[in-house]
Amino acid sequence: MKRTKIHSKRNSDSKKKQHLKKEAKKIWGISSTTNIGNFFISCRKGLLLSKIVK
Amino acid sequence: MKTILASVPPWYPNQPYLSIPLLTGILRNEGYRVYQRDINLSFFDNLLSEKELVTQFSSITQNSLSEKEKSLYTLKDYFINNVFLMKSQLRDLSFYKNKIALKETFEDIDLILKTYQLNYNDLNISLGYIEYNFNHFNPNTIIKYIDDSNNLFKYYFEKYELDYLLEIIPDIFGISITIPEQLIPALSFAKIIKQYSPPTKILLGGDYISRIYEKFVKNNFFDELYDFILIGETEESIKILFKTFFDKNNNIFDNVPNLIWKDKSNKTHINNKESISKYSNNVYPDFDGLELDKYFTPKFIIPIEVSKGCYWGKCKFCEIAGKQYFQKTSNSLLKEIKFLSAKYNTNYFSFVSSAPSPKLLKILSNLLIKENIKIYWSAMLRLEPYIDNKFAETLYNGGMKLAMIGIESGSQKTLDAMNKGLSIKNNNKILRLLSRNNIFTHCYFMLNYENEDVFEQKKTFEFIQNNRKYINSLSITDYVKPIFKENDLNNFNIYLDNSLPKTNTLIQSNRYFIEDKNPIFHINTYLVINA
Repeated sequence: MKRTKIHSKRNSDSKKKQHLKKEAKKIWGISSTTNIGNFFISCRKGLLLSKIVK
Repeated sequence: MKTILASVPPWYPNQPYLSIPLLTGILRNEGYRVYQRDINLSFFDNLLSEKELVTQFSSITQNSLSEKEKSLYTLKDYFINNVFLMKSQLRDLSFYKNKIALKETFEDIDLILKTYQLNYNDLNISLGYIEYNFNHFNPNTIIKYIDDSNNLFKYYFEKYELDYLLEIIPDIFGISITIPEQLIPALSFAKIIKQYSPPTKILLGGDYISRIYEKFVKNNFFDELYDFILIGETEESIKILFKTFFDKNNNIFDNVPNLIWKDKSNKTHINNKESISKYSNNVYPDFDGLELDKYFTPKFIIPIEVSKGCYWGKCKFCEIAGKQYFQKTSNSLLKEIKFLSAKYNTNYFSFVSSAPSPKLLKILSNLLIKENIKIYWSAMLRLEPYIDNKFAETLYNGGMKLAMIGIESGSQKTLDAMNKGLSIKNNNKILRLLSRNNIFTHCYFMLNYENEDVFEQKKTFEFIQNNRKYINSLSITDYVKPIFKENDLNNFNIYLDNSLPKTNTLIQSNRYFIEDKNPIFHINTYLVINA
């Protein structure tokens, strides 16, 4: 019972955090599909890298 | 006889910028004691640290924040508690298999870096990039920021780099300035170096400074913040400079080509420019002293130079057009690769040259295959008509995993106007060949070349659409012709006049990507394609 409660609280915290993060990213213009500044190049470089170093 | 050579932010911190290790190798080979610092790497590493985030958040009063700023502040604990893990993930090869998580980590890191905007609202920092919320091409606004007490780079250097400087007290502190955004950090550091270590001479070099030095000298900009500027290729001239400075203890530097220097009366001299006449490959880049395990990459990828200039050299938009082309021999490259691979225990290389000859890459590939050397590399590739299936197969078997290709346009009219020397038909064909041979392709496109009309621009989007299966990623740049305003000092821009109105409202943004065959287009692209 206790364990379920803790798990449930963690889950709820995590969901809340995810929501806040999502909102903040929206407010600050950070999204893979809409932010097309250099951030995305950075992102791409990481992904490009994943192609090279497999 | 001590020297520090440093690269400064912003640059993407996944590998050292080659010029510093290359010059370090050259100078160490000449017997000079050189310390190299990748301040760009340490900058992003420290900004993304628990300790620094705690410091930043502790100086923020929550009540004074706007709603936008509060959205970051509420994530304070999450940022502080997870930032170390996020950096570790970017350095962990297994994490790269989970693309969704990888993407989220990149976004989270970017979000964390926005935190610095709460204290330093003149800057907008992303991983590897800094945007200035003022005109960073204008010397007046540049100097204003450098002198500002709320200068992040001043804060950073005094906190993280000053002890190192004072421990070494170098005779020369060399700073590489490759892109416009690095000028402010470089000059901010130079000012602190002059303040805390007055005898240290400041040496500036790099691509950007080589383009704008005349403006510096003519207008006495930032005059007190540098002692020497080396322009262009510096491999030979830096040796002469150091010999004159250290060995002869001379104050007269008129024998050093490509050097800007000041005499005892503080008069500035611009020495003769000399192009390199030979391409020596006797000295390899030396990465010793850099924190190679701290780069934001799961594997250390060694940058090496394959060639200088462009063997085609006729594209009208290109800044290296007309310059002489040099290339290393395949045997010397093989020797260099073997040496560096063994020394730094990595099989990953990026050939950082602008336009190596595909024929050279093929010969090198054959050598690597013959000697059974398993390395993986990326390079720029011009889609020459002689590239056939066998050619592409050889490149792949020789280790080419990523080809970076300047396609430029889907319009033959535009390609011809650029003097690109390649046809659309040819580009279509070779992209397919590369894809068939599992070479990952990243393609560069350019819109608005010499006010290209919308009809021709659409052809580029059609080209992308038609080649979706064969283009793995791409970037699109809006062509802006550099224009100098000589007489208007209030609006004086050192290099690019970015205040020019964009003539083409279709292009609101400049980069679009296709990823793993699933297009992630910017909405404007859809508008263009579906128009």
